[in-house]
Amino acid sequence: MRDAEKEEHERVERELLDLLRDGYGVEPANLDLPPDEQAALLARSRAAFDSAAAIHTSGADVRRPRWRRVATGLTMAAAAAVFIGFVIPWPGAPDRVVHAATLPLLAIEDADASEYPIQGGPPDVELERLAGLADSREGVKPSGDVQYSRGVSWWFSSNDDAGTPDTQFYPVETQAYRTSDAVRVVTSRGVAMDTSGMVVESPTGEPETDETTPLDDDIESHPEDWPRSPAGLRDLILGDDGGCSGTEGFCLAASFQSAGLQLVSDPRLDAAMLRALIGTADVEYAGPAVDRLGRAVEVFTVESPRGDVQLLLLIGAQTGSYVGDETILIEDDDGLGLDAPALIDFNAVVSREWILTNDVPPPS
Amino acid sequence: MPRSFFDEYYDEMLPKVHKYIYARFPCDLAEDLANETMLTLWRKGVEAPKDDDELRRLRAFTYGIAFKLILNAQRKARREAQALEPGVLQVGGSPDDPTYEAVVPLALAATIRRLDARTQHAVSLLIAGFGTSEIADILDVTPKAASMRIARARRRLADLLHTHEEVSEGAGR
Repeated sequence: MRDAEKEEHERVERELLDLLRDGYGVEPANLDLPPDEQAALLARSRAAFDSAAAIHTSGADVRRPRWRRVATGLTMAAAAAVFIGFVIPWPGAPDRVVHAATLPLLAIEDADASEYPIQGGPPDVELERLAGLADSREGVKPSGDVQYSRGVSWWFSSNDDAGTPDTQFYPVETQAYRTSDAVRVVTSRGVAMDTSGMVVESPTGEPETDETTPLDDDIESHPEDWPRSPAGLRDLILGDDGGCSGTEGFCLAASFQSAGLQLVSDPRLDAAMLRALIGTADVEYAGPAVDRLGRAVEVFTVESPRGDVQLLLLIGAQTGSYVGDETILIEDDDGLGLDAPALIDFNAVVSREWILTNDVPPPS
Repeated sequence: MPRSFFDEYYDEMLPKVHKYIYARFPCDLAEDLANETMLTLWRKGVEAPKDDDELRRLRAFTYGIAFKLILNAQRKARREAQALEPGVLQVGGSPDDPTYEAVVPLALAATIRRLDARTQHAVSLLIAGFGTSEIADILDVTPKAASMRIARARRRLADLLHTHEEVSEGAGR
């Protein structure tokens, strides 16, 4: 801008400000920080930005919080799909958006679906009832050395290389084979849901990814060895580093999800996980619902530490066992080009069983 | 956007975006949201502007991201039943059609509302402490257009003040 033009603009500003001062007694606010405070602001912000930008460009060398370190296998695969989605699209992605932001939100009997985030009620009584149900179940004796689980999911990727978000959602079918030292996850393209939001059963498609992830030796990576007492589980998952302070319910729910997606259901662990959630401040009971596979479930909600998504934990109403979860965006996300509320991710366990090593198909 | 350009742009815009949000929220929350604004912009990977007009549009786009974050933060505060200090600027509306209202005495607020919407926004932003070039960027208009709105507002407010004084004097006789 030329100096003369700038001077003219300042003169016009001054005239209006004088009028406001003399005629109405109003002074303009001064929101400019002093130079030293502005420099400090810039330095702090730059450090925070560089750290966050590194996460979204490389993903390497980032120390995950404790609840994330607990998650392995399937959850890691799902998280990776979401995480790297900022950078690369899902392999074999269709040219057009599939059901972008159109999948119906889960209908919960006692909750108003138009009012997200869902405001639930106290969860403790229902958690204890479900834990009692889990306790009453017989455990499944291992009939093989591989835990096989099959699930359907809905993942998304977002690519904004062109300057505008291109967010795409993919129905995904997952098969996980978990041994004592590794998890192999095979994914294939699922089928789009029907307009009611129910999953349409279909034969498993051709594998699109087939990856094996070695498990770390630490106990956090081995839910099968986790304590069967609520207090022991809380100690293990929440730790003592304060990483889950104020978000205990979210940390526990994320671990519940992780274990539920990988393991053949163990009634003692199910009961302990449910009771570990009792008394947490950030978990609420939303009410009964029917999940995407037509099963009766009880829904518990917990908000993410950032408050941008709400996780719905789905527990079998007759079993007390984890059967799936849904992640709802509750704040508009410019980066993804999505308006809240929107379902951005769900997992539904179709089946879990022990199988023999010989029954595991060769790598594709 | 090349990182070298973005770094330069970041240093220029971060304090401006902070100021914009600081007009609505406490300083520390403004700092978090300003950084989130720039991070969102970076993730979008928009191309570097080729001329001044594109640069102005990029600034407007950046303020637009900040505006959405302000709306989200307001919604979150309402949800959590947090009492918000009024700040010096009330912001509302939709991202496509924002509204700005400076916090001023009731008599002036009523007078400002007699201006057309675009002029109201320019006056509110000026009262909130923004200069013409910043107002232009926020409203996505040229500095000249922003200055014309301010000049138009001064004339109109002066007329309204004059009329008000005449009415008051007449009533006092």
